[in-house]
Amino acid sequence: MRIAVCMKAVVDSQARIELDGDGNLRQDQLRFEVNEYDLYAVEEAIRLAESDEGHVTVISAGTADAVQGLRKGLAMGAADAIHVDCDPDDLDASGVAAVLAAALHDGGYDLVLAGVESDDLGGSQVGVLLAEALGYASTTLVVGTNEPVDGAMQVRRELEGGEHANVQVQFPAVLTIQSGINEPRYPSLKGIMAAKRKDLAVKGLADLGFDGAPARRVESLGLTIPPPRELARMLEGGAEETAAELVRILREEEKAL
Amino acid sequence: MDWKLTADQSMIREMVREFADAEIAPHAAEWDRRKEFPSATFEQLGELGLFGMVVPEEWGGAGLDGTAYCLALEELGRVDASTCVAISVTNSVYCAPVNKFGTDAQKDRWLRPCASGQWLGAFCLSEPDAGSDAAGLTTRAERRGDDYVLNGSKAWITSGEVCGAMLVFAVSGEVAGKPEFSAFIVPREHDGVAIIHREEKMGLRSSCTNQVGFEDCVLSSDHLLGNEGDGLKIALDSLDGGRAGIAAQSVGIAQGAFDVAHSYLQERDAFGGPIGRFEGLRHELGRMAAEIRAGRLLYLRAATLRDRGLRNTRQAAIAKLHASEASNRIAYQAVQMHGGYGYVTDYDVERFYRDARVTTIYEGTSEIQRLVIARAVLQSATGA
Repeated sequence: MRIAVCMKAVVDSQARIELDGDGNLRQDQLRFEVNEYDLYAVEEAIRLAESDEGHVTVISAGTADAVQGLRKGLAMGAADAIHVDCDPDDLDASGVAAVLAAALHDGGYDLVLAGVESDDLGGSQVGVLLAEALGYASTTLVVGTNEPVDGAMQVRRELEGGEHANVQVQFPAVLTIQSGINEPRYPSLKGIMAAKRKDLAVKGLADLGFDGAPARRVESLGLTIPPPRELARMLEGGAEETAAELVRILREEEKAL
Repeated sequence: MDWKLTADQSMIREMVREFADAEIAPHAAEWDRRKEFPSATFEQLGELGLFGMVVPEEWGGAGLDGTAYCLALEELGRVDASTCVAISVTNSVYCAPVNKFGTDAQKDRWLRPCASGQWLGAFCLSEPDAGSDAAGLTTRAERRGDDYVLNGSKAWITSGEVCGAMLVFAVSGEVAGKPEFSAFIVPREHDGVAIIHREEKMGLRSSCTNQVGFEDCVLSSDHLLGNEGDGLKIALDSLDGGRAGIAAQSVGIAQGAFDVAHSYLQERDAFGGPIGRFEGLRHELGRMAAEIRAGRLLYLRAATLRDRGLRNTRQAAIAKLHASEASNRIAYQAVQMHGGYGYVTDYDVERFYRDARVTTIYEGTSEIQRLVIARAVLQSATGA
């Protein structure tokens, strides 16, 4: 089984987000890390590959920040990596899907896995649009996989409300992976040292047949930080008094009771 | 000197940091309270390759350089000095000397299983009546036919009761009226090896520190590491490697204490606002930050020299002296900043304070480090 896993460098969730006057992210203080959902996808791919001597390729479209994630994927056990060298700010979700599809389309993959969404922009689009661009089947929010049988796989999807649905998907297919499907391994020290001996191919947009970045059809107009919420309200008085007031607020003002 | 870490070094530090934060930090206080050696966590650490970090891959290790190794130790020290010390010992004073001085047959038997994470190694040099004074060691290895017979006892043995094998130094003869030492690889389960007791300690309470006895312990000559008489050379070389590691551990403890204090200064209100706005405490915080950064640069310097195949006796001693003394000052000050809360176990500073204390004592006391440094600078044309 040949499996590709899409990875994205996202803004470190611990980083302090600051906007400049025009609503743009101040880039100078940003640090990037691997999108956490993608680590579940890498782990799932490696487990599937381990059980049938498969091959896992990790791929990321982005600047040099993307390489760190690819190295982590290699250290966890992927066999090789593709870095599509481009500025992700030039691309909307369909553009990212188009460049990933161009890099993957003649790879003969049975499965392409991607995190269900990114930790920063959270669009949940690239996986599905990539399936469309490749002409593959797709299913989303996958929380369980099974051994493939006759070019198809039964997978478990998470539904709204927490119920699960079992679906059968024909290969080739794109699955978007929900968190909690597995527990991603720590890359071992040997894995980290072996990663640098693995093939990490760098491809520019021109190598993939693009004349410049595919035009954005969805444009970001700027970011805003929601206004700070009202501070917590402190209730004064003795226990009986404050309890009564709390019940009144929950019942009358918040309609919570 | 270029201080930018390589991609491997950064990734190794990140992996150990993530593991430490997720798998060790949440439990370290409880392990300490129960004096519980966390076997399951050590199994994970072994599988990840942390028992034989600098051992080449052909012998089951991870093949890291000493710099990456020290970075890993700092990350462990930052959350739990007990876990850190057992990892430091197995790497720097068991695996490293067996790798450097062992034959292929010895490495296959006694290095590969340790480096690949099956068991920990230990180092037996000090004795109940001789520590810094190595010439006063009395454990004897007497030749009997082709074998050696070991008799004596060893003190302060980290991981004694949980290790798979230990490196034991013993008097094997006499040259010009002076004792001559040899090093032996001794499996813990070998006949004649006994764990005498486990020490009750001020800190590092979840690591095991044992007294180990040898009574008519018969070792075939393939247990001898290096040549007969190489013991002192092997011990001193191991300690040069170990000292940079203990410096890194000390920086880790200091960083751990600093991080807790740093948060507390912003959380704790007094006299109408967070206590971090007081200049007196800011002076201390600034000094602590500078001492930590200095310690980190010193251990990186010592490790880098050794990575380049250069002798680092002086630099490792300086790094160990500074970092261990600084970690004690920093942990002391972190407790002070917490007031009464620093003296109870609610915050981790109390544990860091106890754990820091031993760093100026083991793998060469501060007094010994000063002598080592003084001897080196007196011999050197360039001085310090």
